[in-house]
Amino acid sequence: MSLASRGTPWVARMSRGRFASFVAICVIGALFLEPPLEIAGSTPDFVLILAVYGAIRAGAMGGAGLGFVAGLFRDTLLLMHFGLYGLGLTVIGYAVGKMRESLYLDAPAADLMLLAGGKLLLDVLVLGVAAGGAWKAFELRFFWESPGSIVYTTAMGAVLSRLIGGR
Amino acid sequence: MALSRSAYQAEIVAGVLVATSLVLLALPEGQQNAIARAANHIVLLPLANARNVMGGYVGLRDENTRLRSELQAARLELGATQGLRLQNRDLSRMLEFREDQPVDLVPTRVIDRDFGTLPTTFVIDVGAAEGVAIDQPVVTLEGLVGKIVDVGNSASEVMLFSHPEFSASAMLVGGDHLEYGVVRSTPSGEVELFLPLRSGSAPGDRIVTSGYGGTFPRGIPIGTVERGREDQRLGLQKIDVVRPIVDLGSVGAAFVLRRGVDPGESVGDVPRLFWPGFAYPPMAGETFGRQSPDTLAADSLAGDSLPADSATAGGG
Repeated sequence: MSLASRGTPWVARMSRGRFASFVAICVIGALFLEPPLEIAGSTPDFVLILAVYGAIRAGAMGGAGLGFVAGLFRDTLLLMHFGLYGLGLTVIGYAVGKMRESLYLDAPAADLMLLAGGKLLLDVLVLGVAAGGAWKAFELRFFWESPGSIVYTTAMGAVLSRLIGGR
Repeated sequence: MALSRSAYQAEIVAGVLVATSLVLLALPEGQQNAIARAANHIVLLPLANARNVMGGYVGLRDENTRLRSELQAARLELGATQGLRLQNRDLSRMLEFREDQPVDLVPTRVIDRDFGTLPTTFVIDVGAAEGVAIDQPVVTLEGLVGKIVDVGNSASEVMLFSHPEFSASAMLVGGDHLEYGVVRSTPSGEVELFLPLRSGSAPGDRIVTSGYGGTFPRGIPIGTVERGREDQRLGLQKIDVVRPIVDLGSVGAAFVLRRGVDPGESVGDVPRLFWPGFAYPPMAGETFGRQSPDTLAADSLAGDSLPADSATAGGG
């Protein structure tokens, strides 16, 4: 079954200029907007949004590459466990791209579910490594921070897709 | 077939990138930090600088807004302070004036007034509780305002000299003569001095209360002659238009003269009621003379409320 017959994702139909705008907004959001947008300890993850939507647009290989670059960009911002976000977002980019190539339907909620799932996976990875085996610390952070961040990131992805993608 | 090759390529690329990430993660912490800092400086420093510039601009804009609002508040405060300073100056002058007077002055504030073209009545904040009674004069530092016509316990109504029913026995102080008459207001608010037909008066002559009539003590300034008219009242009276000395529109505080002054009482008992350095003209029958040029100059330099080019004391 060809890709076209399964329907082309909205992010793949975006022009290069519009997608570049989307990337720029995500980068600016990661640099400047995440702290001011914090609500009850939860922040939208603009880098994850970029990696997921980039993977939806570019496929598995492009998604892995974009996820790796985006992850290193996040690692550079955080200056701790350098390579951790690179690892996580590479895996997520590859997985999302793979799903897009094999399973993806252009349903409005599908990319948001991918976003939520990606954020969940990333939080498990990052918080698990950051906890360093301390289950209590992981539990505390994961169950208090992750749900809000997942919802927030998914909502922000929906807003961006509406604003830029015109969905 | 092409699709599966592409899929392998993707897996190879993803595997290489994951391995690279793992290698980075496995590096000693010092090397990780060094790489991260280098990447941070190369990639993010320009962005950070841009953010600082933007933040600085935003900060400057916010600071500018804050300073503008503070300036506005300071201006408002300054205006209020200036108003208080003027009020303080007026009240200080009133206090000083009150302490200088031999009569019993009750300070009061105007709490209500009619807002017609020309005010004709005031309500003041003193009443019977302060010893205020009907017909007591109301004055400011400059001169006559009116008289009490109604008294409550803590407020009183003042009939102003602009009221059509107001009248006061008055005295025109010319260069070397006195003329006695009555001051009244027309319905249009114009204040007039009614004098005997052949009285001598000229623009600029001062008009004060004469002390006759039992209401106003002698010497309270009313105003000056603005111009004369001779053809009214069937040629039986001379009417001068008076320029009041008190601007009723700006009166906010005044005094009630609580202790009445006997009309027959010598002016020596109220020697410095309004015009310091100016001895009031004598009662009828007493001597009266012009002030000397030296005294005139001294009084002018002293900045008295009225130029003392008229009378000197002819007697108490």
